[in-house]
Amino acid sequence: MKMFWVGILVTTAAWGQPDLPTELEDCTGPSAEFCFDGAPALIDSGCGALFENYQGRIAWPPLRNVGPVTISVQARHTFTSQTFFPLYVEVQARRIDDPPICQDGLGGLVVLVARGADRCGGTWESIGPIDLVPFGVPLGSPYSVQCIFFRTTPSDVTVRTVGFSCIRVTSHPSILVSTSWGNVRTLFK
Amino acid sequence: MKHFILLQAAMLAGLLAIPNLASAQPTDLFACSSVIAPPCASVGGGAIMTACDRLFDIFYGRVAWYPLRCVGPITIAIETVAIPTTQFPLYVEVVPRLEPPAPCGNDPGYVVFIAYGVGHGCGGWETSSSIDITDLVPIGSLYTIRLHYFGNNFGSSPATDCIRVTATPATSALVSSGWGNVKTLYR
Repeated sequence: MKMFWVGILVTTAAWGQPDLPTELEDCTGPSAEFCFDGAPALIDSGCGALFENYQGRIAWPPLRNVGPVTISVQARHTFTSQTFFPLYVEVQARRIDDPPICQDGLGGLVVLVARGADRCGGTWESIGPIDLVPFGVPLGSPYSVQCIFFRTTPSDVTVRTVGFSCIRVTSHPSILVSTSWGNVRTLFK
Repeated sequence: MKHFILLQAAMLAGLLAIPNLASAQPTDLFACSSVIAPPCASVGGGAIMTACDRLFDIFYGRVAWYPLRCVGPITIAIETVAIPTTQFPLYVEVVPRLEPPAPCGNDPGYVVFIAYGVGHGCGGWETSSSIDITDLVPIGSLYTIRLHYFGNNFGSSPATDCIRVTATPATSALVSSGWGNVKTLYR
């Protein structure tokens, strides 16, 4: 009976919002899924990647935390565009009853600081697999990923954040399952 | 006819109220988060006591002070302290006020100063040079000072307490320029 309730608890906690995606892959361009504070500026479009710079935050619709994630961004630095500010990638816990839409007015916790590379196509920078629970996102709960851009005053020497092209969030629930099963075995030995 | 006159009077009062509303706003700012909470703050990350028994706050996300009225270049000073977990800078932005303004000064802003935290145990003031914001915010218009803090479980931007924004009115330059123009016009 004890096992039964533990099972229900784990199931409810981990799979509370089955309709939300658990992974994300998105790029700049007409089919981009993110919302943004300020209009984009083009940084570079070589080597098949469109690098843009925004003013403020861009954010994606919520994902569901089902275990550790790897978060990767493709970023481009150029001296000509003065992209000396890094790109801050953050996660932000969302409430269960939040609408599953993009919301860019939220504070977050930094998971990755990307500096980009000064070469055609930029570079992919990654963090993970990381557990989002210490970042305030309980298992089974929704969270948002957002990127923060900065820009100095509009002049000849405007300094900007590195150009952003793509983001990828990959979930690794198997790591979680093996850990949890290990814990369960330890608990009920 | 009576209604028409009343309507005109109301419109005139409204028009007069707009510039008065802007001119009623302060041009300078001095505020300490340990005394009065900022009008807008995303997430509070706790507080630390410095070696001099002062409370400094750690924030995550945006903290905004507004509205201020632009009268010329400004100097920004922020009281900061860096501790071993200070890993990120603090970005200070000027946000021109749009109509209608976004809540909490969430309109797009421009970085005018970056603070890294004063490394002594007591903290100290980090002060910008004179910043001409008049190409962003026309004289007489309103703007927000926004601080963007970063943090996670392992580190944060510097802890802060007081902020001071001091404006240098461009009135004197405006007057002399205006008088010069008048002389030129009536020569």
